[in-house]
Amino acid sequence: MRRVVVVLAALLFMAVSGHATTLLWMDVQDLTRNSTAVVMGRVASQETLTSEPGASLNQVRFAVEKSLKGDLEGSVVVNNPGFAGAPVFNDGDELVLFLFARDNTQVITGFQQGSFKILTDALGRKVLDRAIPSRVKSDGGPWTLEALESEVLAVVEQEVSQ
Amino acid sequence: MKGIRKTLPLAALLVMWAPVFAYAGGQLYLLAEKPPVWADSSFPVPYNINPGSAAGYIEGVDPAGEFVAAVEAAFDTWGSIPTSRISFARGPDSADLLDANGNDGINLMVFHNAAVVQGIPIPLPPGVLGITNTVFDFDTGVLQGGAITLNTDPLVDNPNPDWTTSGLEGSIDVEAVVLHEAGHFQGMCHSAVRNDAAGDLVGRPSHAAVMFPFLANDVMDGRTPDQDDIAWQGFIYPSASYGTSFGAIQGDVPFGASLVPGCSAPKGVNGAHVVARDLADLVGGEPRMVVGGYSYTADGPVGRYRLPGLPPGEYGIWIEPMDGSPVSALQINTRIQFTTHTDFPEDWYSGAFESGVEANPNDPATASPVAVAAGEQVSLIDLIIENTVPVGCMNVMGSSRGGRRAWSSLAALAFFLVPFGFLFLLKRRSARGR
Repeated sequence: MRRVVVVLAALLFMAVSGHATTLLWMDVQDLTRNSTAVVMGRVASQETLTSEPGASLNQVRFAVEKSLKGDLEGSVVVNNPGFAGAPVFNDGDELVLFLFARDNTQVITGFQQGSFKILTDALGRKVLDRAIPSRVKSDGGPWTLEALESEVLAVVEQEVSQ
Repeated sequence: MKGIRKTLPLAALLVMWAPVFAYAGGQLYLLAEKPPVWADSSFPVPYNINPGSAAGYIEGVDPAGEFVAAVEAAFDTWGSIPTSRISFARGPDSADLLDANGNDGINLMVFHNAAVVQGIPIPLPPGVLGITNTVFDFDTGVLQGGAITLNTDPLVDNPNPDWTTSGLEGSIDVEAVVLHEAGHFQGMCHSAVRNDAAGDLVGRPSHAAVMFPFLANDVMDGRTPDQDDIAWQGFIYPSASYGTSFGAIQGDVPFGASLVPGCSAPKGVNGAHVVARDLADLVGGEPRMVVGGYSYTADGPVGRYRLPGLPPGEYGIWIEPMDGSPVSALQINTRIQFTTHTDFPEDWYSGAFESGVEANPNDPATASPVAVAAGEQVSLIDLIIENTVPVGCMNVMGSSRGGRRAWSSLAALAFFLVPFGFLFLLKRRSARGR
C-alpha cells in the first residue's frame, strides 16, 4: 500500500504517458496464421512493472497445458503492455492465448483479440467468454471451446499442407 | 498492516482532492483525472516525420514520399475542421526510430516494429496497426509530446509491404491509420460509433467513426472524420463557430433505485455507450449513429453522459453495454476500462415511458425523439436500466428525480467533507505522535 501511495504522490508531480492504438479486426484464421503459437493453460502468476515512466508492463507467467500451434510447453512469460485495449488477467484464469514471439519475447496477437477466457457453463461445458470471431459477418460465432480448438487446428493443418 | 493504516487516509486524501473535471465522452482519460489536452500555446502542434522508416513497408516506388504525404494529409484533415481551433505544422524530419524522450519537442511519426515499455523492447504484435504514445502533465493534463508508430509488420502471414496509400477497399491505409492515431495524439479516445450497410453484426464494419478502434473496411471513409469525430474534437478544442453550430444532450444512466427507506442508494452505469441516432436515416436497417459518448460515474453518481457536437435536429438516444460486441470498455479509457457494468439490455430513450422494466427496450419504435437546437443543451434525458433492488425501490421518472438529486447533493457534500475528515484524523494522529 505504501508503494501505491508513493507512486500516486509521485505521479502528481511528474509527466506521465499513455498509449492508444488502431487495430486490425482479426477472425480465428487471421489470429492463427499471424501467431507463432496458440496455447491453452492457466495464469500462474503476474508481475506488473511500473518503475519506469510510461505504460506499465504486465508480465504474465502462463502454464501451458495444451499447445494448438507451435511447440511451447511448460511455463512461458507473456508480455502484456498496459496499452488501451490490452487484456486483463487474474491468477488462475484459464485461457486460450494466440501468441507472437520475436527474439523470444512473447506478446498477445492483436491485443485482446488474441485472448479468450475459458469458463464453465451451467451444464459443465467449457465455453468462451465471447463469441468466436467469424470471417462471415454474423451475430457472432459459437462460444464453445471445442469449436475454437477445431477452427485453430483446421488452420494449422492448412498451413502444414501448404 | 501498520503501513496500510498509516497510508490509506493519505491515499484517499490524494484521490479525493483530485478536482472533478466536467469533461466526458470521447476523451482519452489516462491515469490522471484530467484528460490530456494540448495547450493553445502549443499551436500549431508540431509533428516530425521519419520518412526513411517507411522504406519496404508501403507499396509503390516512393514509400518515403507516400508516408510524408499521408501524414501531412491526416494532420491537414484534423487541422481544417472549422469547429475546432487546434492546428498542426510539420516540423523538421527526424531519423529516430524510437521516441526516447517524450517531451523533447520532437513528436515522431515513424514506422517501427517495437515499442519500449518499462525499458524492455516489446514487439508490436500482428493485428496492431499503429500506436500513439502521449506524454502529459499528470496534474494539469497538458500534453507535452507524443509519437505515432506504425507497425512495420501488422500481418506477418502476408509478405511486406502490408501498407498502401491506394485507398482500395480493405487495404491497410497509411492516411486512415495516421488520422486515427492523430486523434489519440490530440487527446481523443476510441469511439464505438459505426454504421454498417450489412447491419450491426460482428466483424469489421463497412463504415465507422475515424476513432473506432478497428480500421474500417471502407478506407476512404476511414480518411474522413464523421460527425462523431468532429463533435469530440470541437468539444476539446472549440472554435468560435463550435457553439453556434452544434447543440448537446446530457443525462444519466441510473440503475433505477431511488433513495427511499429500505432501498440501496441509487447507482448508475459507468461506461454505457450512449448514442444520438438519426431515426429517419436507416443504415443496414438501423437508425444511423451520429455522435456517441460514455456514461461516467466520475461525472455524476448515477452515470452522467454528454453528447456534444450535434447538428440541429431530432435524435433517438440509445444505449448499449461495452461488452466487446463490437467494442469493449477495455479499449476506451482508464475511467471505464475495468467497468463491470457490461450486462444490460440495449435501450432507446422513451420519454415518459422510460423505465427499468420496458417490454421491448431495444425497439426503435419506442424511441422518443429529442430535439436539439444550435447553441443549446437538452438535459435530463435519462435512460433507466433495469435494477436488481427490491420491487418497492423501483424508480419512476417523475418521483425519482428529487430523490436522486437529494442523493447527488449528499454525495457532493460528502465529497467535500470527507477530505477534511481525513485531514482532521491525520492532524490528530500527528499530534498524538508528538
